[in-house]
Amino acid sequence: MFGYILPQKPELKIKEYKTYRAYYCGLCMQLKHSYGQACRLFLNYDLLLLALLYDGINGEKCSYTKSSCIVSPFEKKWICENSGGICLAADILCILSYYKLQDNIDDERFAKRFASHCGISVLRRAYKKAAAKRPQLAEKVKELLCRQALTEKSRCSIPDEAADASALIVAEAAKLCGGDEIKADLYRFGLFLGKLVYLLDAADDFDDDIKYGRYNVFANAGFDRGEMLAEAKKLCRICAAELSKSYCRLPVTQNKSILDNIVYLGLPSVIEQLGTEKKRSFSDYERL
Amino acid sequence: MNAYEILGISPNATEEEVKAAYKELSRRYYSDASVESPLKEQNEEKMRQIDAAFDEIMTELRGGMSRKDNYADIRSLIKSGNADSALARLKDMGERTDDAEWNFLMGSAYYYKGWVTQAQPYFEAACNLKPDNAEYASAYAGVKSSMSGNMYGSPYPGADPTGGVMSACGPCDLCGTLLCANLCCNCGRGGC
Repeated sequence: MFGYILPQKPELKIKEYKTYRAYYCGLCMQLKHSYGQACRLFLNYDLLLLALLYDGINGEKCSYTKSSCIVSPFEKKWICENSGGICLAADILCILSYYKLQDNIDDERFAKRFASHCGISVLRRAYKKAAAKRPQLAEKVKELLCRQALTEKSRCSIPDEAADASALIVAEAAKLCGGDEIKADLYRFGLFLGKLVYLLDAADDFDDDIKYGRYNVFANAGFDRGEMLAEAKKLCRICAAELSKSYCRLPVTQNKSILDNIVYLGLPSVIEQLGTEKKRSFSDYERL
Repeated sequence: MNAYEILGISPNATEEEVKAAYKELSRRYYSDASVESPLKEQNEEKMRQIDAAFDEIMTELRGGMSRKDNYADIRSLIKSGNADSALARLKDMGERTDDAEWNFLMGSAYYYKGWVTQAQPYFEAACNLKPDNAEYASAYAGVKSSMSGNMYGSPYPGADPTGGVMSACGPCDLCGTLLCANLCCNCGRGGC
């Protein structure tokens, strides 16, 4: 299970935790229903934030049902259904995963490239369906990922510039979470969220990227590991601070306590834990 | 001193006013510069400045836009979300590092793009050049606050980023906790 955007579990109330889990299972089920079994492999936590935000802003009433699934065949779990936010997250996930794999084919080594080829053949139909549903987003993502590839080719060493395309992709996706009157705040919220995830990812991959000679913006800027961590944390904190400026202006009526937890506790804690071994401490004894 | 200050006119001056100011100044300094006097070199230097200032302002005016209109135009570009074209135009103007408004707009364009670390030095320069401008000051303060990682609107007072919410633990809390703990122990069998 992966993702950077997580709530801080010990600070969630039990009902909030259950809602969060139900959204996670709901997204997984939505992927199965709309896009087929295989797409469930691409499930991750990051887009749950957008699902929760969409429903939180639009006041969607979802229904909860209990059912078992492949991962836990014996224990039935609560699953959130009929949620606009989850539909949106599933569409975005398919579009992003498809392009991510295409990107891997271009610049990964043999084994991963092979895996990506397999993945892409599985995802192609799902992608076409999602792109037909959200043509503008698909078009934007395509264009921005081309830009990303160019920035990487130019061996860019400015984190802001390197993260720009990723930031804009999430900004475009976040814009879909609400009406015109809050589009500007949503856009900026997404902008810094995307940048934050890009930077966290680049910092996490720092060692591997150097080992395999892949592009890494921090390595290109000539940082050693210590300097990189300090710089990455500084930049990530700026992103968190800036996105909170937009987040606190959004008219969230539902899921607010979960969203608050993710934004104000989850994000700062992921930033602080950057570069440390992911061992379980008492305070996050079970990271979801 | 910028070109307008050298000619002693306001940045809103029309072409006629610029020409009149130039004529007036050149009459004064040319006549002084042509005669042998202790101030000859100083006057010649002044005359060079006036010529340069006049050229700069006239090219701006003939280009269809005064510097002020140009800035207003760039401002609306940034507001409408065209930070990239605003940046390109600002860069075309050359590095006007001694112009507060130019610095402020550079900062704003970067800030709009979300490049906060890039925006910071420009906002700082704008503030240093015009310390009493409230708009520059608030922009710089906002960026400084983000640079220090302050989050807005957090419902968790005293949140510790490394793990959950810190609870304040004064001596009274400590005593209370111990008493409670003891009570619990005694209720269970044996206790501690």
